[in-house]
Amino acid sequence: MKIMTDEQEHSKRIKAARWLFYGSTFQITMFLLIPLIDIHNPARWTMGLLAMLTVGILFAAQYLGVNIYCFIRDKQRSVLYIILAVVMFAWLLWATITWKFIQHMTYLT
Amino acid sequence: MSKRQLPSGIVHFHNHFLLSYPFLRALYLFITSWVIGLIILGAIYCLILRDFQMTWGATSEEIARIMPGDELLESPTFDATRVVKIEAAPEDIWPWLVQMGYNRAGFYTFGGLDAGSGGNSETLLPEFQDLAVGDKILPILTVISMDTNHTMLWVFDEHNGPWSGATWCWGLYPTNDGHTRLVSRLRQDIIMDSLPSIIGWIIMDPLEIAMMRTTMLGIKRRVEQYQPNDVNGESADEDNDR
Repeated sequence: MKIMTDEQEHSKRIKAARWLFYGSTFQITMFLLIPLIDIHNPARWTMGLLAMLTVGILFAAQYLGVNIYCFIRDKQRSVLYIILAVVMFAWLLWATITWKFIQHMTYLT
Repeated sequence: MSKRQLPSGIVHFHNHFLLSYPFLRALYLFITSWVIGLIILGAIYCLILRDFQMTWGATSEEIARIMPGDELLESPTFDATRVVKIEAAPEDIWPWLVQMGYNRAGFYTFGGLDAGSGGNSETLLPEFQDLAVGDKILPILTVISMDTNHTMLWVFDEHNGPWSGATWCWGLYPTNDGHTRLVSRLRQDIIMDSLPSIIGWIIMDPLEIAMMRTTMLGIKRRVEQYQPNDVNGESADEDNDR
């Protein structure tokens, strides 16, 4: 049976948190870029916005959770995690307000 | 420096193994968070949200009311009756309904999606007011029946994707205070006979309300803004909070 010191364990947990952060960052970046790939489609921006307002809510919530988790585990990069968590929270707030007052969102409708 | 020997056993070996390999632990956390999150969300949707969104704004009488097209699908697995109150008479709303459609006035929903057809109209278009039974709203959506200023039934053509054979009925029901209840009833027998159809319906079932609600609120805004002496500024949601 291997023996691991607290410091080693702590270090491993930070590394795991960072891998989780990298993976989730890649995931949400791809989510935002994929609707825009078809550059000849005039509806790509609307599709992107619609994706952010629907399925994107899940991705934003997941990324918010990841950043909160990483903030707890990895204090060295806490500022980055706080900024991204605030951005994700703003995304969720924007989606909520948009759906509440969708008929007045003339940039969408 | 303290040392701790990890306990034995399958579960603890599992934890120890994951802790020894940060990448695998991250992957485990990533997948677990999605699986648990989606299971919880799916349960909440099926137990609470689905019934709410399928009957958004509707009273029990409006849900039970017989409408054109009901006879075509007797016990649909997708049965949505949504209602919005509009401060206008049925005859003021009807022209906005009959001009709807692709390459017509749009669906008053997300305009950019209809970019190829000119988007959504903000005004009444005289050239699209002569809708008749048999006309196409979409290439796969046909007008089946019309009762001017009251109801209009559209049916999706057969063998055209997940909405094949679905019925979509619009109804205008005046209220005692001189306003109108705009009713949309969309019904379909959900068929999950292949993996794409299963995935498609899992996505479509909760998201369809986003388009329908936007369309109905889009009609409400246009009709009410079109009233010459209209002074209301209330949100439709205030009428639809239940």
